[in-house]
Order: sequence, then structure tokens, then C-alpha cells
Amino acid sequence: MIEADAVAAALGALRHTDPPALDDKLFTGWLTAPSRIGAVFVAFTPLGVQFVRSSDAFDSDPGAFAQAYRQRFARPLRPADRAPAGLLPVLSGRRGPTPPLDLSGLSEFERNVLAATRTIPTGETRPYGWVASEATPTIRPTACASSSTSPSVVWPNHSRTRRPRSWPSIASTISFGCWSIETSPTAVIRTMRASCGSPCR
Amino acid sequence: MAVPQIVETPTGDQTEEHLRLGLIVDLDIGFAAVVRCYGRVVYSVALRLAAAPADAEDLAAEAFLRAFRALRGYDAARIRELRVRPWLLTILRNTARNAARDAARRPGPPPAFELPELAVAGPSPEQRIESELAQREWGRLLRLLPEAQRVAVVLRHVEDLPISEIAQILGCREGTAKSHVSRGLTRLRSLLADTELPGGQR
Repeated sequence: MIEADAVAAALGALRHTDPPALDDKLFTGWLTAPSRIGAVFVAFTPLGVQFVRSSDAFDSDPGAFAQAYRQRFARPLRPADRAPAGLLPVLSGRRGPTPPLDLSGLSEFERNVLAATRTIPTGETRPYGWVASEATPTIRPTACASSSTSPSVVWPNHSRTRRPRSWPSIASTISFGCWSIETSPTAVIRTMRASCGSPCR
Repeated sequence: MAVPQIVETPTGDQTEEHLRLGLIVDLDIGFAAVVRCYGRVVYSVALRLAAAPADAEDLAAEAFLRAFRALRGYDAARIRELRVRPWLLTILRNTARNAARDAARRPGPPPAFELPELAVAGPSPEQRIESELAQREWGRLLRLLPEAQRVAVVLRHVEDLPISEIAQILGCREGTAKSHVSRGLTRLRSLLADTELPGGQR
């Protein structure tokens, strides 16, 4: 049988001395960029833009932005030298290709919901029922997706109503477009009437 | 406060103290220093714990991310008590075990061609191929060991970690850690007796 020392020596040669760079897998880049609504904080991974917030929302404090990012994504941030390709023109309102979005932390359904909202032309709105029918015909998962996903996609401006008591975890973070219920699929109307405490007209 | 650039050194107490301080001052910057300092050892061990060498990078990254998430919940007092390297390697071990358990529940993917583990500069193509084949064969033999023995042998003889740290990572007494190392080596020798390594090693 081979000597123990020889085995130990051979094992020592297995020590890996040239590891791959893990930084891109671990760290999210961030920077401040000008936009039509003023300066914004942008966080992005190699896959695309992940998190956008108005600088005013954090009193221009990068630390507060980092805290909000970590709260949502639980990943470390590092300052970036350059913005992802296509981001700055889009933020300034110029026409051009949309920069990729990093939606890797979302479920397939959540991605479907956001894909549906991205087809809504700027300045127009659609009821949740429409979004639901584009993804799947259930309203609750739609609301869940809209409340938990990254707001890097601008959500249409629906009207607000009283908080539905049966959806405490959702209603605190989303608007609820009751005015649009009548145009929604029947199953969705039933679900919303059962769940919503406000009088739906 | 600026976090100093740190590289892994054999005398780790001072390094660990700098890393702990960095984590307390600024979590993101301090964590970047931890990755710079221990990225090599975490990846090197991940290479021996992953089901396939191609999974080692993802395994190491996942372990670091879990460590970061844990650090977010630690206060300064807890970070001061932390022994960063064994703590990271413990997380790596647990992550690898979870991944192995999850993989056992799912049907495996079809066999895929794996890239060589190690790119060696200098030797001839024949020597490189021989070296890569030997590395792969050693990796296969190590994967035949029971998990605790494999971890103990890798930490002791590949990474040259002290027994006290190995015991901490395995969550056992030092005597038990020594026993895992010894039994692992004995088992490896027995496996080698039935194996012919590339390049005539046996």
C-alpha cells in the first residue's frame, strides 16, 4: 500500500492557487445617475438593472439606499465606475434600446406579471384584471407579485382604496384599482369582492 | 474609516482582527475584504466538496452570500467574537451538504463534459493533460470518502489548516477531528491500491 506521506504530499498538490473571480457573483454595482425626475440611485448586476430609487427618497444618502437594497436583496453593494449600456439615455428620456433588467430573484409568474406591465404604453393604465389575464387569471398572485418585485419597472398609476383587511401583508404596499373591477374577468371580480373591504362600484 | 487591503497569511490572528474590524466599520467594504482574503481557500475547498468541479464556483459564491446574510444580523459584539475563516468554511460545508441533499432528491442531469480543473502554465500539453487527469482522479477518490472524512482530509492535507480549526468546522472535539483525518487517509490509501493514476502514480 502507498505510504501515508506520499498520499499527504499528493493531496497538498491539489491546493488551488488560482481561484476564479467571485466578485461578479457576489457584489451588485451601484451608482448615482441623472434622470428626468432628478438624480437616482441605480443598482445593477452583470445580468441587468436590479433596483432604481430616487435620490430624494433617501435624502441623497447612499448609506440609506444601500440599507434599502440590502433589506430587499440581501446582497453586498460596491460602487461602480460605469453605468450599464443603455441606462443613461433611458433615464434621460431619450429613445433607445431598454437596458436589460435583472429579474433573476423572481418566480416565473412574477416575471410574467412584470413583462405584462412593460407592454403598457407610457402614460396609460391598465386594471389589475388585465395584468392578471396576461399572466394567469388570479388576482391575488398578481397583487403579491406587484408588491414583492423590484420596482425597477414603473407600475401603472391605479387609484387607491381602503385597505382590504383580509390582505394585510399585501395592501400595505400596493394600490388597489377598484374602479377597474367591472372590466375584469368574472372570476377576478368575485375574488376581489370577497377580499376587498371597500364598496366596489 | 478605510479598510486595509488584506491577503491570506499563515499567521491569521492579525488578519482576522483586521477583517472583523472592517466588517464592523462598513459591512459591504469589510465583506469585500473577506472575499479577497478567503476567496481562494473557500473556492479550493468547494472544489473538493462540490458534486462536480464545475459547481465549485457557484457553491463558493452561495456560501459567501449566506455568510453575508448572516452578518447582516450580527451586532458588533458578535462580529468581534467571530473566527472568520472557520466560520466561512463551516457555512461552505453546510451549503455543500444542503446542495448534495437537494441533488439527491432530483433526477441528475445527463452526463456533461467537464472542463479541466486546473490550468497549469508551463508544462507541455501532454504533461498538462496528465496532470489534469491525475487531479480529476484524486478528486474522484476524495468524493468516495464519507463526508466528514473528506472535509477533514481536505482541510488538513490540501489546505494545511490546524486541527483546532478543523474541529471547529466539523463541530467536534480535536481528537475526533484527528480521527477523521487519519481514517480518511487510510481509506484513501486503500482506494489508491486499486487505482492507477495517470503518470504512473500509485
